[in-house]
Amino acid sequence: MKRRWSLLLLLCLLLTGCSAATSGEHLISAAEGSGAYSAALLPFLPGYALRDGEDTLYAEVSQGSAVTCFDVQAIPAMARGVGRYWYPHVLATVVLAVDRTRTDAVITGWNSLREIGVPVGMSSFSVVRNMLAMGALSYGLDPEKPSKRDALDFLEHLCQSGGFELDGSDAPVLICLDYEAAAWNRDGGTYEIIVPVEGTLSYRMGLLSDVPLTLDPGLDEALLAAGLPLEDGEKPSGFPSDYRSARTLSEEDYDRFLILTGDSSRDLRRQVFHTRLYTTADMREHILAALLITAAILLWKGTVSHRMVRHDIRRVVNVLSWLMVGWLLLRLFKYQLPQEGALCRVCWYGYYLFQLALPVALLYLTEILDRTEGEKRLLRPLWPPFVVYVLSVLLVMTNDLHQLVFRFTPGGSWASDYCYGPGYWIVMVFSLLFLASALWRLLRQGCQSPSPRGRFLPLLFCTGLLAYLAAYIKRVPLAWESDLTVNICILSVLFFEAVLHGGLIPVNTQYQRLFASAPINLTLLDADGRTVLSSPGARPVSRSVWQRLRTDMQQPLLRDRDTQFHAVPVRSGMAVWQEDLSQLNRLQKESQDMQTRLEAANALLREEGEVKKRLLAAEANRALFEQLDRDMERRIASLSHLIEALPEEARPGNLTAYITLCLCHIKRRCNLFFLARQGEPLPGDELGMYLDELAELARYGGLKTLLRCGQIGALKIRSAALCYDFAFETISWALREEASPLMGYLEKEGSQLAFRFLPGGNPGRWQFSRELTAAVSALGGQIVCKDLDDAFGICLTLPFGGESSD
Amino acid sequence: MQNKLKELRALNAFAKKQSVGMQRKLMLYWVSMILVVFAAVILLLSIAGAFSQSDEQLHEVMELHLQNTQDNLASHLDRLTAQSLNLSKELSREIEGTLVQEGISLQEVNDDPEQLLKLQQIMYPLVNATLQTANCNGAYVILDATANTTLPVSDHSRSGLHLRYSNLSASSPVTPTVVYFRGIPDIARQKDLELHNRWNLEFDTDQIPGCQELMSSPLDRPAQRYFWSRRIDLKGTWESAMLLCVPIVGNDGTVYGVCGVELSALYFQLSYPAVEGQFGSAVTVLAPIQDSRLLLSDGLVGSVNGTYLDGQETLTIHQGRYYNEYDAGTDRYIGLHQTIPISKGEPADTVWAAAIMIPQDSYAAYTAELQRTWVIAALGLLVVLLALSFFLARRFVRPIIDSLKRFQQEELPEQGLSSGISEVDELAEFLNARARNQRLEQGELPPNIAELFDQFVQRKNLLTEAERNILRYYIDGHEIADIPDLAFISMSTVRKHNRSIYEKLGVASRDELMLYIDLLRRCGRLQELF
Amino acid sequence: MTSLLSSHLEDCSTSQYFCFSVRCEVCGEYWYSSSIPFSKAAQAAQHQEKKELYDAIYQREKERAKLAAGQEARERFSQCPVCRRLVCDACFLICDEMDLCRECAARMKEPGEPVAT
Repeated sequence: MKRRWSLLLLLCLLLTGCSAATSGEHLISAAEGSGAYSAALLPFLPGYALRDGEDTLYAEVSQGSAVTCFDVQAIPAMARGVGRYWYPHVLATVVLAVDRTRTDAVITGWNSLREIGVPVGMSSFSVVRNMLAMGALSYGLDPEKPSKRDALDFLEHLCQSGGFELDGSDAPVLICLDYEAAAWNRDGGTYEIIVPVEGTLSYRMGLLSDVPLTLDPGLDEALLAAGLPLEDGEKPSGFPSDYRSARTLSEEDYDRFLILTGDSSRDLRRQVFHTRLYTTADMREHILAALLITAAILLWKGTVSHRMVRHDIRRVVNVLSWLMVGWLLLRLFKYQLPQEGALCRVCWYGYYLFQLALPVALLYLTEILDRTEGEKRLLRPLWPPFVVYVLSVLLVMTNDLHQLVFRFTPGGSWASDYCYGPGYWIVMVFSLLFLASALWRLLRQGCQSPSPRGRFLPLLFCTGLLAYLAAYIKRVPLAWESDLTVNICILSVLFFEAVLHGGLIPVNTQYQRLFASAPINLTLLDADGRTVLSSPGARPVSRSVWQRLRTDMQQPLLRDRDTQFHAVPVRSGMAVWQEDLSQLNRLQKESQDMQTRLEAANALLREEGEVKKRLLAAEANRALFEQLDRDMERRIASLSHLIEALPEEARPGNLTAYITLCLCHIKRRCNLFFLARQGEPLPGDELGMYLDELAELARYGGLKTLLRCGQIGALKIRSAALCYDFAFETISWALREEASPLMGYLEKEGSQLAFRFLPGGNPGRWQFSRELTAAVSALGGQIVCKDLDDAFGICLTLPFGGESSD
Repeated sequence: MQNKLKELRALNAFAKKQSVGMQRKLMLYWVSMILVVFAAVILLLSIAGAFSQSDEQLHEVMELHLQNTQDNLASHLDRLTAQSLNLSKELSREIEGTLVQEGISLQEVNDDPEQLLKLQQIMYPLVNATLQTANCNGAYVILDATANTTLPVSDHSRSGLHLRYSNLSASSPVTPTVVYFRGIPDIARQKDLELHNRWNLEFDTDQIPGCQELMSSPLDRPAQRYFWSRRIDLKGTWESAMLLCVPIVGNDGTVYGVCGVELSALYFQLSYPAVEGQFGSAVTVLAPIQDSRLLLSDGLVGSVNGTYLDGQETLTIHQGRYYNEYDAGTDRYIGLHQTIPISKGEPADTVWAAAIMIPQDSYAAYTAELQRTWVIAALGLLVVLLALSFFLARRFVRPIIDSLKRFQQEELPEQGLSSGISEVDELAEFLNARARNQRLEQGELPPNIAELFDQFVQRKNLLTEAERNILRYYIDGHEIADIPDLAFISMSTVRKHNRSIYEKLGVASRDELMLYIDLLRRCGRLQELF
Repeated sequence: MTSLLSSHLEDCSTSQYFCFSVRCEVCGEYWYSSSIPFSKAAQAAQHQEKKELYDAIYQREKERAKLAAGQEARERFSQCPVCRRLVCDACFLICDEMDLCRECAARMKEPGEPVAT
């Protein structure tokens, strides 16, 4: 940065011309046409040497020289503090000189020029002389309210009707100074000197100096002898006698005069001759335009650099813009130099340093467009253009040695009188070749571009370029007369913009703002993993993360537990956005917590259930035993009662049999009870065995018993227990009543189980125990006593609910 | 051939084996570089036409010159023709007037001196006026009549007037004297003219080829047929001249005679001076061309200053691209020519051409000068480049050689020597280290070793605990790569510690550090480090 | 250290490449090792029938990649001698007495300079 500024400073110093000042006593003739005056003056200024003006009047005066000039130069200069001493000597009046050998038109003043239709010329081309003439004309056309507009209109009219030339010293009518015309007449001219009747101005010519001057006496005579009219109005012979219409400017008129005649060269060029309409017309415009365009180019460079993602293209833009700026500044510098100098010529050659580089830069630009940044292979095909460029510049810069590029007479006026040599055409052909190949590449890449704008814009640019070339060749004023340098700069800029807007370069016009206001955390990385753009909240992407993302963009990855990176490839880089996982993580954590809590609760519940189950089982056992106790209690009680009663019994055999029967019953009932607990069915055979056991025991009591079991299969324990109880009670009854023989038959009748007994006695008063009848009716069965013809029958019917084997 | 090749190859191999000084080698590279670049530049320049520039320039200059000369010459001759035609018209009117007044025909003037005198008296003012106004050195009129038909020469002797300037020279061109060359002397006496010292009464028409034919065939008007004769020697004088022959045609078409002007070789020489240019002096030539030869003996040659032309040569023309060459047998000239029509109605075998010639010697001298300049400039450039390459090579090689010399002299500074070339410095350091190691291996200790050790041990106190830890690993003989595993720190941390250890202990590398440790171990002072 | 690191390596490999990550226990940021492509990634997709062979190769290469990742991580991770956590260079400070992780250093009020920024 610092270096850049110091370079600029150096350039400014060069432009302002900080050459060593050579001070000395010189007499400078600054006013055009004051040669005679200066020559006449010189003998009266001892110690002064006559020299041509090399610098501006201001600079010369401040270097201590005495300068001959007009009052319109000197008095404003003194008002600005340049020069302290002003010695007016000669009075010069703007007049019309008419060559009477060539026209005999009647001319009296300015207005008569409008009618005669004879070409009118100015005797000199210099800026000062234009000012003098313009001033005189303005004052002449309207002495009261002189205006520049009038003078310009007048000249424009002359130019259109009869012909008016700025550098027309051979025209029959000349606008000149009176002493000039008198001098021509003394040299054999035949000019009639006419002081315009409408009015004109007389200017004082004199010496301006910073130091007081002592002029030797006798100057007036010498000036008169040299044919110069004196300031007090004394005139040598050969001047018109009537100077009444001429006036001199007074002190307060100078400001208005400067307003009237300022920029007169430019106004004459533009408004009178209608030239230089599209380019700069005078020095001030040269400088201003150059600075303005330089600023515009730098601004453009800045915006483009901001819009671009790729560094190499940014570098090309930098090179392009510095080339253009360098060219413009070099041109500006050259304008400040005196013409015809060697340095000026070197500057002229120097233009090509920049001009020839532009196509090469554009070619380079198109070359790197479709390649990834930093590709080394790229440089190879660009060597030849670069070498050609260097050789071309060398050829141009050494033109003084061989004259192959520009041909001019050495020592002559090379600036205006030169022609192009073969070298120039070679250089130009190469340059155009580069430009053409750049265009070709641009068009080709435009055709491959997917967007319609990318196809259209390069075409548009080429069309524009062709239109410009056609206009240039056809000499259309806008193309032909405008500044070629500026046009080339504009074309280069347009070329680049066409590339840019055609989408051939990745652009980030609005990305900065987008990124600044993006709610997602987005980061844009270039091909080397450097962060190009990043939204404010985005965490930096570390190198290892970038490497991993580059390998596999589909797979998102964690930065830390709460941030996840997702990436998508973009041209020459990638876009990475960050997902905040903290909410998700929190939810997940919560759900995990919940799950563990639930699992714990479940375990607790399960344990509780198990305990409960164990408790329940214990309870059930207890209830069972209680029930068993209850069940057995009565029987055991009656049994114990029976046992107690045994010794007093008359028939102990019966009672013992009965007791045994009861014991067997209790034992089998307990068996059945536990079987019922196990939930297993009782096979019919086993029930038959139990019943046979009972019948056996009953036989000991003297009861003849026959029990038969049919095919009944497996029985439910409850049914079996009922059948067993029923058999037991019946056998007990029969034993007590001695109702022998007792026959029983257990069989299956359809869906019912039928257990029939045929006792040998009358069971008239016999009652079954309540528990049994209750249990039978609860099971949906019944006990019926039937009075058959010769016997009684007792029948138990039960619905067959057991698992039948068939 | 094959043997030669073999020899060459052997030579090359031998050269390769030869140990060549660094500077020479570098110089060789430089020189070959320069020669290649130089050749490329020369090639480029010759392609660009820097060397054929003078030919082109010559061509341009000569073409311009020729154009100018031709324009001059054509306008000169045209004006002379116009004046002669005018003269012819006026003469025919006067002659006819006189003849009608006298009532005789021209045939009757033969053998009548009085009538002839009368006619010549009439004709004199016209001829004199033509001589005065025209840009020539003589004017004449020949009547188709003779004073004495009886003489044997009467068939080619014709009466007439011929006035010419006598004292032509470059020094007094303003006031030439008119002398009376042919004609009746009475007129000379009347007009107070001097007779030419080879004066003759009548013309010898055989001297003027074509004159007889012109007089014998009738014509409508003089402009129909006129011509310039080839250069003829004026009878009896040392001068030669070309005559413009215009017929004097009467009303009825009879040709009364021939009139015209004379351009002598001398006059032409004075009118067309040689132009001195940068290529040599260019001579203007007006001469007929025959069979691509320029016949100078039949034409006129301008001033020949600076050349060897004598105006009598026959030059063979060789056409060239930029200019033609004219071969005079002994001398050669270069130049250009262009045909110029000066006669009318003449048999078309003679083509006149205006030419510009420059002696080839002078042009060759010029181009030689130019070439010399080029060669000198190129040689100068070459010498400068060679000197530059020599200088650069020396500058590059000097420090290396110096340091090598110092190696040889065994003065190896301990702090390393700074030759400004990193490789050499490294080599020096390497040699130094090796030398040190050798000394150490031989059981020697550097002289100030104790002091160094003390410093080293003292500096060790600057280390932090962590750094000391790492140093301990080094002392235990571990490599850097082992340390992360041993100390449970990352490699970067180790490196960072390393840097500060080196800095604090004042060593430049691990090797140096290890050297210190090794030395301390040998001296049995290793425990001081803990 | 190597074994410590390898125990902290988390596998982020896919069928195409091997990649491991280590998480700094102070800042929580993950560091990812350079991805090493699976040499048979393309073939494995084509030949499902050789799956077992490729699985074996995959496992072998994965082991190798894991070793390499451990070596790579060795460059960047240290163990804090106080809290015994694995920390990245950015969180590991070189202090005057002892190198500490950022949090331990803050707790002990030890000033220090991070190994890497």
